Amino acid sequence: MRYGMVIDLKRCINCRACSIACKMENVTPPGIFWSDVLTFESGKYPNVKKTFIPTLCMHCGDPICVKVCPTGASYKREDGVVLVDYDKCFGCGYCVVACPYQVRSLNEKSSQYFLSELTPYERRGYPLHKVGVAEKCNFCIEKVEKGEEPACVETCQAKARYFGDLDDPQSEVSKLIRNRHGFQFHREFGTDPSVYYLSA
Amino acid sequence: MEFEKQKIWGNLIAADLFFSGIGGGCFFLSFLLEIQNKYGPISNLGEILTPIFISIALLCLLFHLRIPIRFYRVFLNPSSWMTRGSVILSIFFISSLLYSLPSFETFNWLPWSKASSLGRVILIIAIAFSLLNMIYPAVLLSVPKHIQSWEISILLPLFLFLSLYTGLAVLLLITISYVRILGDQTITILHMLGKIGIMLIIIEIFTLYIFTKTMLNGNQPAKESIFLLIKGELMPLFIGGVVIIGLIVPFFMFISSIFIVSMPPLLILAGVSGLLILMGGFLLRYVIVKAGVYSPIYIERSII
Repeated sequence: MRYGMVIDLKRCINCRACSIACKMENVTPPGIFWSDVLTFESGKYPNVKKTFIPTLCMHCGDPICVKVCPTGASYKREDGVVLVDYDKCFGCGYCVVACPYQVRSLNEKSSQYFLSELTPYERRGYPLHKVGVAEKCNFCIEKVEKGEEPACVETCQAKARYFGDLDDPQSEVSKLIRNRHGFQFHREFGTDPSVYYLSA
Repeated sequence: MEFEKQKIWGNLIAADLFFSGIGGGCFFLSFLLEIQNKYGPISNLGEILTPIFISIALLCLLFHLRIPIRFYRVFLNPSSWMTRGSVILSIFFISSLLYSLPSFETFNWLPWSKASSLGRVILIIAIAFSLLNMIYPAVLLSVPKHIQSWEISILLPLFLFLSLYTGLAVLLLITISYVRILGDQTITILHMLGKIGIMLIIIEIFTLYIFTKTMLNGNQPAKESIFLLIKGELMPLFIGGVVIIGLIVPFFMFISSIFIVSMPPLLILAGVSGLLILMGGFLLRYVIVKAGVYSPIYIERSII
């Protein structure tokens, strides 16, 4: 079993519903996006093209963040999901610097969206985050363990995201990678990401 | 396309690398002076100061941590270069401390002296770890392969000679502080240290030239790193602080000091050049850390 995701760049319309769904699900602090969408412009006028690249933790098969973490706070589960144990991390930032995909954040200080006080929603969610530790996407592992899909996959209106078992050749993700030549970003660093992309 | 530089590591990591480098360089050069049997007070003080520099380096690392109370966890993952580096620093701290303690009369009761066989074993360990300590920052920085400017083949000699160079600066300052004890011998020692300084400056300038040249011939993120140093926001620190203040000015001060045989001007030259070297040494580490530019995920336009 190895959880993975396939993102169809042809379908992504940059609505950022994935980023919002991720924020709603994980109540990440202001400025921290576990799921983001990068915009890439190419070509010259009038032949220009915009490509939207959704990013998240790649849950690498050979994660460099786990290797560099001196505390053992970053770890990889048997199902391929890479997580951070907030009770072990001491916030050195080595994993944030070492991640080739720049999808880790350091929760530097306690902050809130509204100046007056925390909203009831924030009061419920912020205790899940700890100040001073590294954070990143966890593939919504609590939902996945209940048989649901990660929030970003569930919410994607353009059906650009697929989630499943990369080790199962009959899974939708494996078929998409096989049939549509799914590729990984930054293969040259040898981290073997579990997030594949389909060309735009 | 905009390139992003890393923002997580800054002053305190640079200070950690700076003080650990000074410790390594200072101890190694003190050892070289010690084996010549002529510069006892200087090499003794150099060795005594080493554990102090290493403690400061460890403190910088501690304060860099967002949750310092969990500092002990730094030793828990042997595959991490931060863990390995902390082990290297710790062993170097202990061995250099154990080796320098017999220099104090208070510690005469210790079962070893510098000349005893146990003392020699401690010395060998300390020397080995001083060398590891000087090159370890290059390995620490080279692990994130997507930051092209942190290339180990260049950073390794750069940090090694930089550590020796800043260690030399400490020895210069020690020599000045011992002028009353050393008397006329001060001039000979300062001349000798000056010549070593000239050699290290030439090597350091050559290494920096190779560093910039290689990066400019590299991919775009590597070029962006160098652009930051030579014409970007880090230019005043790199050109002004590292190259001019840290290398060129001390170079001419060392050259002129060779021809000076009277004490006061020589002491002033040595003292000022020592301070400038330390300033340049810190700034070089700082700009290298700050000029780490990421390879963006979307640089591979051909596959999109």
